Amino acid sequence: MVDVPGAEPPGSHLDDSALLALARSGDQRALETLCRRNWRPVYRSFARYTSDPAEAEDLTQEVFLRALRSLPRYTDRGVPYLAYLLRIAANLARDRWRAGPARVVPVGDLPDGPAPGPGPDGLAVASDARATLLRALDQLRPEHRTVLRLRILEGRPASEVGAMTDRSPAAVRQLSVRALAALRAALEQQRGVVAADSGRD
Amino acid sequence: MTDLDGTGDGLRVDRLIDQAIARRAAANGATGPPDGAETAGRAGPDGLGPEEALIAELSWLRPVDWPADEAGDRIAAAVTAATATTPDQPTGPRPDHDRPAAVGYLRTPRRRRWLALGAAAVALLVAAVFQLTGSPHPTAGPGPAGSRTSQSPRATAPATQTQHPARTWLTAMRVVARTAALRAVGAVNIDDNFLTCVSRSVCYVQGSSDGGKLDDIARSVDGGATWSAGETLPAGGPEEFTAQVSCPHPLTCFAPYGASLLETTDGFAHYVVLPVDLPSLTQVGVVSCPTTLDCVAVVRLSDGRQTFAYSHDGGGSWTEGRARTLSSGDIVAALRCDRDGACIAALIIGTEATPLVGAVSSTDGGLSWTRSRSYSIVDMQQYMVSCANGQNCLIGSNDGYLAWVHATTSGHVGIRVQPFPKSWDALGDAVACASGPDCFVATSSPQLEATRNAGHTWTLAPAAPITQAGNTSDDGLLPDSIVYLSCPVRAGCVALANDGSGDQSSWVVLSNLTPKESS
Repeated sequence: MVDVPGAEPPGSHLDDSALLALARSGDQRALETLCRRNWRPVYRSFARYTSDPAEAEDLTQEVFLRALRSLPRYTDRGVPYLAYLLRIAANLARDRWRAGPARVVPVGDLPDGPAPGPGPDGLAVASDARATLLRALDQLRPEHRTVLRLRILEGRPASEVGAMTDRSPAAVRQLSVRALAALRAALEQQRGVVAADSGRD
Repeated sequence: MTDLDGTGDGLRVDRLIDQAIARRAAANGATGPPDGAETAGRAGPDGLGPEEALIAELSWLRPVDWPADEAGDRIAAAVTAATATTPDQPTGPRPDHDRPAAVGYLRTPRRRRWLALGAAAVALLVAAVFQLTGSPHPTAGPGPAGSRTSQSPRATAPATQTQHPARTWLTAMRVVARTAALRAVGAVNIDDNFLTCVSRSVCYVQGSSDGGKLDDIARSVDGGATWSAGETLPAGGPEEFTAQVSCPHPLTCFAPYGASLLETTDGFAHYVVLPVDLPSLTQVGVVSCPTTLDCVAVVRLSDGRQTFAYSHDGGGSWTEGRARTLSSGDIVAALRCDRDGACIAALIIGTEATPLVGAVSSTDGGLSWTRSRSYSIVDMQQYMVSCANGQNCLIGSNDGYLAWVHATTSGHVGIRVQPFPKSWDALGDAVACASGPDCFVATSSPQLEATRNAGHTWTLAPAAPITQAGNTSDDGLLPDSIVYLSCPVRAGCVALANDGSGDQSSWVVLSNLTPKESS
């Protein structure tokens, strides 16, 4: 197990096909690398169904365990392994939410008119922007992701983040600056990729 | 603007982050981010600069959108572990930490426990909540002392034994930092039963006076430094309390006492006895009163059944819950209800050989309940439990597992089982939670481990040495181990530990909290 959370173990330079071949032969490092490389998109595929991180994590783990069980039968046809994982995730989500109780419970009277706020187009744009932001976050170094998550998402003061990460509060502040700069650069790169894709379309 | 060392830039960004957090807090309850927070890294329509807009957008992400990297570590570890079997590598504490199987933490008083240890230490695990003669629990019979330790299945079992492989967590926790040590703040004579701190200042224990002949509920209003004896408890009551007190306000509390409740408005300096008027009731097990009017209790009936009951008039009248949710063998290890009607109860179920943990939850103030699946805990000799609120409990086994119980707002209750991190290398002595994610585990090292994120990462607070005595006490507890732990706020805890003097009624009070005010 690597020491830095979120870091990929040795062997991460191999592509998924090579890692799958190694994993099938019992190489646990290869399996671990496949998990670390692909868990975030799988996890986020559940975010549309649940707002509970623990539940999303639970389900993500189940996806990988199902994939592991079917590994001997898996045929590598050159399709990204992530696509296969996402298909398992979709099946799992469908089974889970179809079998479970209704998650949406109407409360109170329905409004007469459309709710204020962005319409479908606006929501789609916001969703794209969020997806771009999340992909950019994935590109960051683990310590950058960690400091932004603890400081901004969890709202912890710099002193507490420092205590959790063995840094002084000043070092946390500086790391936040560097992390935001790295995130801006990653965002620009992501937007460039999106623009290039749009151009090809 | 940026200094040579970047300090100015760091402070400026720090302020921007604080402002974004404050905006999010102010808009708490809104359905989404305000306009302008969706243009990451670009100037927003409301005049936010690029950096500020980026911070704003980050602040509006949901935790489920942006998982911690440790989640990937846990997933990868669980998946790789699923490919491996480790029959010869027990993950529990070192053998020299093993001690005779002890007791649940809702348990018999120490002086009575000594009498029982020679016969059946493990049996106490299943006799914790209701001390009823002839309890119908199938595993309440005696067995050879220490047999659980000497024949531990852990030595030959796979590393994980939870019923649901997808919920198996192997390397879930890391020690990431150190926090302040516990320090001794006072001493108290107690009847070894419970410690409940309802704030960083106000705590309760079952007190003992006149050489242990008289019991009361003693209170401290200075974080455990000094204690005041309460009114002596009524004669003819149960031999012991079986649960902690429940206090909707620091000095207004309820406590189960036989087939009655004790109610106080002055911190048990005085109390009144409220009989629980349910037909064929024999004992009130645990009670939780989120307000002075609303109480939920677990009661035992004369036919052996357990059931939930609730009151909306401060314990004056009671109604039995709708459905039969509990079986007679369930141990309701803890019960906690919130003002909004959310309730949760942590259950110890199964048999001595195959103990399980489970939970039930309610969203309507105890009227109806939903039961979770059950999960096995490998070789659970002794349990520890704490429910921080009506949606979250932590159940621990002393030898290496934690079960995180969480009920959603819709009432669905799930459990996540994980082993102690390997770095702890110790037994668990007590658990306490200040909120769902903010929990503490006292270990036999002795140390206090703290988590802010429901066990995903841990900080370590070494407990101050309590005594120089090197011998263990008669019941196998180390003289400096923490026996009771209560953490009313996420900043820390108050703990009771044996002072090692050999006098079982003399305990040292530890704390890493600063009392704010007397109440």
